[in-house]
Amino acid sequence: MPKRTPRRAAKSRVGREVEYVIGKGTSRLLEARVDKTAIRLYVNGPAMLVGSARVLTSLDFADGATYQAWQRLANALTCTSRCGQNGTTKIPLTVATSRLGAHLEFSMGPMSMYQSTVILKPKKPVSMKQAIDSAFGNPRKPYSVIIVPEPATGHAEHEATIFNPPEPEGHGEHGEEATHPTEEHHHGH
Amino acid sequence: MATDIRQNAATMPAADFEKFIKACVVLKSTMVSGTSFSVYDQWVAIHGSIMGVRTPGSAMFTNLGHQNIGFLPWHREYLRRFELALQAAVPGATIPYWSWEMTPEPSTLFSNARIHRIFFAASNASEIGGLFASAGPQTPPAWWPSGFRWRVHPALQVGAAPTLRRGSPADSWPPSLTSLTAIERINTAPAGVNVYWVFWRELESGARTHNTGHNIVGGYMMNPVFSPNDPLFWLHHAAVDRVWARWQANRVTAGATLLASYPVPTERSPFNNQLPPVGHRRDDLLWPWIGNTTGYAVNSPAAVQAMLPNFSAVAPRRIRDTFDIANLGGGLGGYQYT
Repeated sequence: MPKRTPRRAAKSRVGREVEYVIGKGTSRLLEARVDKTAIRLYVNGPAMLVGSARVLTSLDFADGATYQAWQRLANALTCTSRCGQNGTTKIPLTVATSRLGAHLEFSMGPMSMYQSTVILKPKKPVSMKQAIDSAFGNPRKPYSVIIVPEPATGHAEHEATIFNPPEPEGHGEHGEEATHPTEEHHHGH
Repeated sequence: MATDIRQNAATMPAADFEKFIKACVVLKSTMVSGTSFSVYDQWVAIHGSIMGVRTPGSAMFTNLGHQNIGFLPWHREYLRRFELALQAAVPGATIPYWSWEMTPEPSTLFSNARIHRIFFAASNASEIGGLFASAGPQTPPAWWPSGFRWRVHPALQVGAAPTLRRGSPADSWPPSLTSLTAIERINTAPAGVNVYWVFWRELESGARTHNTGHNIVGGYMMNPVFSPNDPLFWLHHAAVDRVWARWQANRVTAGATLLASYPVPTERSPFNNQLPPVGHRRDDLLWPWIGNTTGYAVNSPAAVQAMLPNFSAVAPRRIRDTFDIANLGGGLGGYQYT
């Protein structure tokens, strides 16, 4: 039987990344602890439809999810917006605290009605899983780290044009999409 | 009226593509009598004004062309009417479609031989040059209007940019043929939800579809209000429309009707349980092709509104009138894609 030459794995960029779309009706929990070297977010309506994102974990602080661990993770990652209107924008990853503890937050970059690409990846040539595990001290128990997109506040996309119409009365109680009155104050201070 | 054929912009005969470009230039260089703007500018103004339309009895201005289910029907009507305007300028001209799955550059399509470069994955935007050079083309074709330069009208500019530029750091492109085929075959939705919701959401705002395409080109294509300033807009939206047409054909093959492949007017959004805005529902009028219906308003600047043609003599059109590309009615004839 002839010797079979093993096929080399295709070294495509797409294979090294996980892609998520953020927009109307899309999933609100995005796996971040993945064996991929980058997370590519297709952000529809940055700063108009999607405002920011939180990064949360199922870990307890006693298992590693301390403020310091979150800071290590923030320091280990880069976050960049690529937009045809605004160019490349570095997005800071900040550790936010609340009465319940700490988590990461990042914005979705400059405003656009179409779509921007936000890329979250480790600074070092490791996977997101490796970067996260290292930041949290390589917890022994199974756990998840999740990106939670948050809707934008202010003008909803159906009223946000470059023409900046005056605020209608009762802003926040739109007849079409009354999402604003139920938004959380996610900083929780 | 014969059925028009929209061809693949990358592979169609050069002479046919030239008809499209020539027709755009004719419309751009034909001034509306007594004004400072051209016929082409009027089409840009229509797209700009769809961003904020107040329908009769409403207190709000709503985007009737984007971000909801009317996105596809409105752009289909808009493109078809623009195509007929092209044919009035250059008989036989049709809108080519951008075959999204092709590697963008280097290519004949994105070169000065056709729609000009997009400077794929560039750090900064650059002037397109060629036929669209700020000083006019260095070697214009024989049909080029003497002294004409493609300039963006001041009322339709963003950031005081008078010339067309392209280039974006976004590089999430192209989509694969497999992914596009999968979109054209979307045929399932949660119980009680018209499958169109699933399809439309993917086509307008999914990964490597309409919104992404605008983002990777940049320049005016990335400005939602005045993106038709760039003639690539028409090729991009023909690609969008073609995916819709192929999805519709697949639905019909599977036993559905064109009418049933769009939510009924009483179906609430699966995102928020609200009815889609007036202007997006199946039986709603398509602004600006509203005939003599009164009570509509737009919130575009006065200079943009001044460019809008008077469509009152045109028979009113509705969302559902756009479902059959082979027979659009209303004097629009029909078309097909290769």
